[in-house]
Amino acid sequence: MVKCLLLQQIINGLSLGSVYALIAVGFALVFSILKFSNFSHGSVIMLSAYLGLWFSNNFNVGLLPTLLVCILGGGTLAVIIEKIGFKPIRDKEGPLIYLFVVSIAISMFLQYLMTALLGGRFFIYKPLLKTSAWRVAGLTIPVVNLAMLGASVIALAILLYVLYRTTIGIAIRAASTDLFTPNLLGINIDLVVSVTFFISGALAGISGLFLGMSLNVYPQLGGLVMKAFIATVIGGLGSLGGAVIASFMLGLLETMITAYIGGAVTPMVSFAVMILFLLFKPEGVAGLLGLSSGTTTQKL
Amino acid sequence: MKNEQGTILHVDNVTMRFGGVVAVNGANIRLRRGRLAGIIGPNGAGKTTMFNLISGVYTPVEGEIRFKDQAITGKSPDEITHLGISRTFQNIRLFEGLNVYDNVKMAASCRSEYSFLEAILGLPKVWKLEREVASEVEYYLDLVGLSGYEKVWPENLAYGLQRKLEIARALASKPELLLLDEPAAGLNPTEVQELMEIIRHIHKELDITILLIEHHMDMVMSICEELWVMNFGAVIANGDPESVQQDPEVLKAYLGS
Repeated sequence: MVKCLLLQQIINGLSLGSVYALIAVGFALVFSILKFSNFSHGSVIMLSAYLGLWFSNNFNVGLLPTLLVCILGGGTLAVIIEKIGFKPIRDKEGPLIYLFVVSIAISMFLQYLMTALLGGRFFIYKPLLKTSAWRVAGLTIPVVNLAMLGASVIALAILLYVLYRTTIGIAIRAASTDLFTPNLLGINIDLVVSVTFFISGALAGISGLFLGMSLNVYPQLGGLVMKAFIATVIGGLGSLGGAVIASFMLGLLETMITAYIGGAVTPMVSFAVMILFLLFKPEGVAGLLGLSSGTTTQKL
Repeated sequence: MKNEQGTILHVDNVTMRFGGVVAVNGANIRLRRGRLAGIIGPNGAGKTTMFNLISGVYTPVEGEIRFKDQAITGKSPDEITHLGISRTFQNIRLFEGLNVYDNVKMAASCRSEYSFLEAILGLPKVWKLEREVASEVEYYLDLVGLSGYEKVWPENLAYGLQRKLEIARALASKPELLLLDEPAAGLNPTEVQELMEIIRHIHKELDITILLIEHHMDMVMSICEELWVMNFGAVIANGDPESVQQDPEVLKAYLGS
């Protein structure tokens, strides 16, 4: 029984970690080319959760069509935020801190906008999956957790393919060294930035849907971007591989602590780990594993 | 202004100011197609600023730049690259997250015309273009003597090889005009000799126009067919290396008398 419970927690921890990984990778992608922590990423998650809810309720469709809408919606939203909020600052070559502050302001604005429009209450997805839980050998595994894990792994695999095998992916990686040189080699930087935001938003859209399904939808849902922030710091800022590994570690750690010690302690431990990494291993998991070449390891 | 036969680049009365500093002052350059030419001048003469103006990093405050009889003043760097100008940098700027192969591929595939969606779906058209790009990358790496280094990270290459990689990368966008900003800076005498051979070879083999900025006078005098001398932002002399060497203005600029 104890073993079963542990196994169940591990599966839950991995699926939580996989959503953190989706958010963290989107967050780290933008960081790697524009060098700022984009907190408006949280509002893309939150709005995608509302979008998915509205779409699945109104059109009475299942998981896959809703997922597709969330991917496209999240990506589009992130591009719109970039064009309105960040591009004008980039064009004027404003300091990075402006981008950072604007991203926080946008996230706050959208959170309060949704509160004003729909109130602070929780909205609940109608069941998008036929079964809610699988019972196997004494284990109870929520199917949404498995779907979350599966979708995240597939999304990350596609991302890896795009970044390493396609022209636009190589351009994104080139742009993480600096934006000036690729431009002089014939690359349209605005296009690279837009595609990066689209990918980042699409990943946020996937996580928004699954977070909405498992935690319900409310204006503060985007606050979970903080977990991704912790994961990117622990992973080593700017390193995608590090962010993914750190996300799974964080998911497991949080699930274990919640199960065996108590939920009240969990966030405290997560932040404590982040502080310890910054103090003693600022290059993060990526630095520990020697993952740094591949993406930039520029510091904040 | 009337076009002279075979002129690939016109720089007409171009001026660039940064605040109160005049970096380039009413400069004129007429570069003939197929030339291997150079810009020389003391430090701070405005040579790199001239390259930055031609490649679209800056827009001149006065004057006009035309490439193949088309005004390029005010165009963005990527548009200018697509028209056929590419360059290297005084301080090497390679992509550290990409290996040698991908550094060159980056520039080569800018011309590949397929969309993001097509690339993700892996359509046959994409594969065909990718194969073409692959053979081009190998060709340019071979041209500068970097075959066999494909998988190496650029930061692990010796300095001289990084310079060569930058040239291969610039060539991969298939320029008609190649701008080399101090290609021999930081190289030892043997490497400078080798570089001269490579530049001559590229010039002949690819039949392109090359404009370079250089401080190594031996190199400039032996490979360039035509020179422009800049001082305090102005072009003070133009001609073949021999005549430029004897120009009183040039002697004054260099000897400071």
